[in-house]
Amino acid sequence: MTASAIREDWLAAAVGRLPDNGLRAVRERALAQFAKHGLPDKTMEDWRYTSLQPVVELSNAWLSSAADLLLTPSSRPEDPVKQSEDGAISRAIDAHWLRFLNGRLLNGTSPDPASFRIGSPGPEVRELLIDDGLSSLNAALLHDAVHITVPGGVTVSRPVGLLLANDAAGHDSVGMSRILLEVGPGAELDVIENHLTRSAAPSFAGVVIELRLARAARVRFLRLQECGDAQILTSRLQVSVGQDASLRYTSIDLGGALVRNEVVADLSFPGSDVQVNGLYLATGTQHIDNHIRIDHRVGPARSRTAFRGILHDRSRCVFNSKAIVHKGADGTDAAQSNHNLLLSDKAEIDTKPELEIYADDVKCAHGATVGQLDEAALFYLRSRGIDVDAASRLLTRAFAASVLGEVPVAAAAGYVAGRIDQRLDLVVRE
Amino acid sequence: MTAMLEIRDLHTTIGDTTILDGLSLTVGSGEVHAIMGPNGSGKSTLAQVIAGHESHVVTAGTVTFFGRNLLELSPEERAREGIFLGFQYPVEIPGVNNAYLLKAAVNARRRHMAQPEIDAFEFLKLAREKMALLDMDPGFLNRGVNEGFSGGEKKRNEILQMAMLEPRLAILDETDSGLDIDALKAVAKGVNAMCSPDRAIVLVTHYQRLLNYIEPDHVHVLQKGRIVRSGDKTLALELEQRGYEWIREVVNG
Repeated sequence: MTASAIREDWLAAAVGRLPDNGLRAVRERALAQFAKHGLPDKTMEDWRYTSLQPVVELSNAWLSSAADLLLTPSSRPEDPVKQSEDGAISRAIDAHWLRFLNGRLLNGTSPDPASFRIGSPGPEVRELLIDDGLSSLNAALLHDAVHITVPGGVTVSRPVGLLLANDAAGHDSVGMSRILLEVGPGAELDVIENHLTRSAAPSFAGVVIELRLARAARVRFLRLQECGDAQILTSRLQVSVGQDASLRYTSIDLGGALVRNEVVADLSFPGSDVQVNGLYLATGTQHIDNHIRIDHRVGPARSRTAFRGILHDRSRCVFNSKAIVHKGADGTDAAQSNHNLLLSDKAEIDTKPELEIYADDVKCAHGATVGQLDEAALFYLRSRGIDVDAASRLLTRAFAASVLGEVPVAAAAGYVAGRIDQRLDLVVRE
Repeated sequence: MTAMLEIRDLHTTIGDTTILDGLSLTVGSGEVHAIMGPNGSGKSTLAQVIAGHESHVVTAGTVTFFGRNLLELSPEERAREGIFLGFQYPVEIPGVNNAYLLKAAVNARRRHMAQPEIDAFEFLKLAREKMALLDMDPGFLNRGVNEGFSGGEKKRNEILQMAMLEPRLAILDETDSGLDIDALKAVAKGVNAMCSPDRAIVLVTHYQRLLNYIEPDHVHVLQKGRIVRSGDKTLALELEQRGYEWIREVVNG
């Protein structure tokens, strides 16, 4: 039992005040589901190490005081990237940038409708994924749901960038985003999901991205999370992978106070190939939790999950990946790994790569390590005249570098490397 | 005149075990020494203690380098002073570029000697020159440090680092172990090219084989943490013929 919960009467009142833009029915359904699920708590296996109590407190404060101020259209804020340096990524990386502020899409037209379209919620909105407390809360408080479609056979030349900014300054401390991405048969798309924060006040963002890959679609997906010190973020990527379709995904967590990232991939067709990689850097009292679930429902299909973490100070990280090879999914090839570098004896990692296998003919592997800097490597570098601090930084960077070699969106690789370096400088110096 | 390296009555422990047990050795500029001995006699420990490995505790004795107390210096300070250890087991460091390490190492030493840093062009030219001498593919520069290198490639890489760093004292720990004859010749060629009146080379080796290619001025036999016999290169040949058992008998009377 949680100590406290989100006040459902306040939530219902807020939902009632949201604009009637075709999402009303789905919000009502979500509200009913939320009443059923509630937010997950530590009694649930998938939430043993991560408490959403800060979400409850922040949400209740917002619902009780400020919700009515910001749920009116007049509070629609200005473009987040025009005046602020958080537009750095949109200047550095040539992409079709879609700008969201507190869950609201600010520029809703596609610059290139032949290669991809941006729609307002259509009939498919009724099918929005609502299957647990967080996805219910997300759907209940949605202003918009954004539907991006790539027609079959199209290779989108520039990446589609999702710039998801949060700004708590205008009492807008809670914001929900929902994005549906449908990639047609044989189409190719690069996606960049960037999370950032514009204000120092505590805020909570909930993001759900539903990605559907049709037959032989290929998607390269980069998630770069650079939230501020006081932001709570829950993000989820739900992927259905079509026959012979492939996903190359890399997640990079650099910021945030409390972050939970979930990737759920459903492999229901043969020939699918999914790679889910990640890197998390944490310091101070940051809490970063990555949960990956891959359902192999048929074979042959392949999945790879490889995450690395660097933890400093009193930070705490959680890694859990589960590959479930369902009955009959013969020819599955699944591997998972998680390696962690602890730079402080007060940092903590809870890691669990898991396999559940109900099929006979499978190839599966998993493993996790937790360690400090390699003393032998440190001495080797020092014996070449590199001072101990520089040698430590070099080895820490080297540890992260294996993920950098795999950044799936080529246009973003240099930018990402620079951001990781900047963050590492901060993390390692402390 | 002050000797380059002066070790007097050195005692060291690792954990509760005594390894070096009253070792004394003097090495002068321009000399090539070979330290031989059976497994477990303390050869590698001696090499590591000179380089500053912190797992060894010096319990008694002194080590000076041109009169300066070496034991108070960190490993990186020793390297910048011109001490080089060629590792018996060079460490693989994926993600750290071989060229980057080489350049950083060269510049650390140059800064220490108040010399200007090496520029990229000069660095590449020098590295390629040294690699040609060692029969190394220049592609090795762009790989991770020792990452996926064969045994022979790792040892050549050690010699390359030595050649780039131009140390005053090079200690090569079992540089010959695990090498085929071609690699051994390449390594020996690299070492011989380094011989100079300003430099001393200490070869730590179990077998005499390397000494067919690099001729030592002095040969020392280490046993149970101390030097039990010193001589010229003929001592190595005698050891090869008669085995370490012979030394044990001679020493124990």
